[in-house]
Amino acid sequence: MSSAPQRRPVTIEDLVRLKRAERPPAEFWTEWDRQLRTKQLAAILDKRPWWRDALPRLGLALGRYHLPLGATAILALTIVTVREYRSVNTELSVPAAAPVARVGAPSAKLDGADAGSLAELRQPAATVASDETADESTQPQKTAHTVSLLPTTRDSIMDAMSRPAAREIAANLAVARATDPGLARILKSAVAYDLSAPRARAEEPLARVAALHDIRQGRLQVYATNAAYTPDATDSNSAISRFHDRQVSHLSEDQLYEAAARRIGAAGDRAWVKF
Amino acid sequence: MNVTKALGKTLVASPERQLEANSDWAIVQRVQAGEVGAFDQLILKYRERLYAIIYNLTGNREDAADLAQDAFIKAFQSINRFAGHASFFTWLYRIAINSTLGHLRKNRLRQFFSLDRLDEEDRPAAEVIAALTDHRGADRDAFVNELQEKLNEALQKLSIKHRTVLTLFEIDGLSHQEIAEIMDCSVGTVRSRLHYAKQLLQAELQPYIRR
Repeated sequence: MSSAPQRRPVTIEDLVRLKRAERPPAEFWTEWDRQLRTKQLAAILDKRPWWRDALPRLGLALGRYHLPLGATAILALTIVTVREYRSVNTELSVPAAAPVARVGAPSAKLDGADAGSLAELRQPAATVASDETADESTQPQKTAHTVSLLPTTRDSIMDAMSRPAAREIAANLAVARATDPGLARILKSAVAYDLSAPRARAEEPLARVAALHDIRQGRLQVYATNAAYTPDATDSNSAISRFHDRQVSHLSEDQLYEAAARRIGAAGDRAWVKF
Repeated sequence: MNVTKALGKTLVASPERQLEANSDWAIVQRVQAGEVGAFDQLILKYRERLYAIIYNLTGNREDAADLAQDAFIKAFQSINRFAGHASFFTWLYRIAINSTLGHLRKNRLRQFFSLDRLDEEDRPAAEVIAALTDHRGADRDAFVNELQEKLNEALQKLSIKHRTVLTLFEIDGLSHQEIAEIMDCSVGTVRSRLHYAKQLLQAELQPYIRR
């Protein structure tokens, strides 16, 4: 009994491994070696730039100390931050006799001597206006008040006062007022916030809508009756009277345009202008 | 021997590789000490393997020859920086593969193929060809040429990374761990790329697969 020869299966790995059998002939390597020698000599003779050797070495050296360097940097940053924070705190605890140029301000002094200003801060903002007429002895309190930028609730006042910048400014102003009355006057005129000045009355949005309605109505009436719209005497809205003026000027403009049209014309191949 | 160096050595898979790595390290130390001629031993040892890797990645024998020479020159120039953390052949392969990948990226739009002849005295290759064809003489040669071209085309259709992993594993016979070291990626990535590459090749070379 004869059987067909059993063929071996061919997998994808077998096919890929065929590439192993793709080899250059022996003489290829002789030529390859010769070329390599030439290139090697050229590479030896060719002077490489210094940074090509130095930079990788530097990277290698630094790479070895990655962790220690990182840890040292973090430690240094922490120390600097803590020191800065402490120096700010110590400056704030210096007595109030510090000169104006000094940034630090006495927080204890501020709490004690300026207790009045703190109490004043708790007052409604409108009461500040009465301080305008007070004598210079009351000026420190008022100027300190301008620093807080009108926080009215207890929490916001305390919050504002807890800010180092606010405390420093208030303390500096207090010292300035105490040492130099002339400077205090300048500061008063420059910084004081005049709350007593009358403000423009806020216009109600609905009133604005009503005014627009009146204008539209008036315009329609003018168009319908061809008569000048006379606003109600009791109507305080000046927009209507402005509309009336505009209506009049609008009519005169029409007349002007008509006159102009009469002066300029064209007929056939000619254009003419009358002066 | 420091911890990194010891770890690098343990990553080399087989005892043969370990021995090879140790002997290479001894040669490298001689070169570093100033005995430049010792580098020729490393060239002779690795030139064919390095050429084969580059050839299978580029599909061009001239480019492969040039890139292999360049890799040896780069290795020679940087031999003083080689600290023995990994084995010499891993280091050399990494240089060669990085150069080749750079070359392939640069010449992505300009590819020419020139293939070496299939050595039919190679026994495994002869067996595969025998299993695929009964032809003799000129027909057989034509079939082998066609198979070579199809194989090359299919390999070139793979992405560079997939082709590199497949070449290193199936053709050069490196372990997953060694490939991961050379390509600077995880073993899982190597396995996944290998699997994907084989799937694509299987689809391309379906007519030549015999079950």
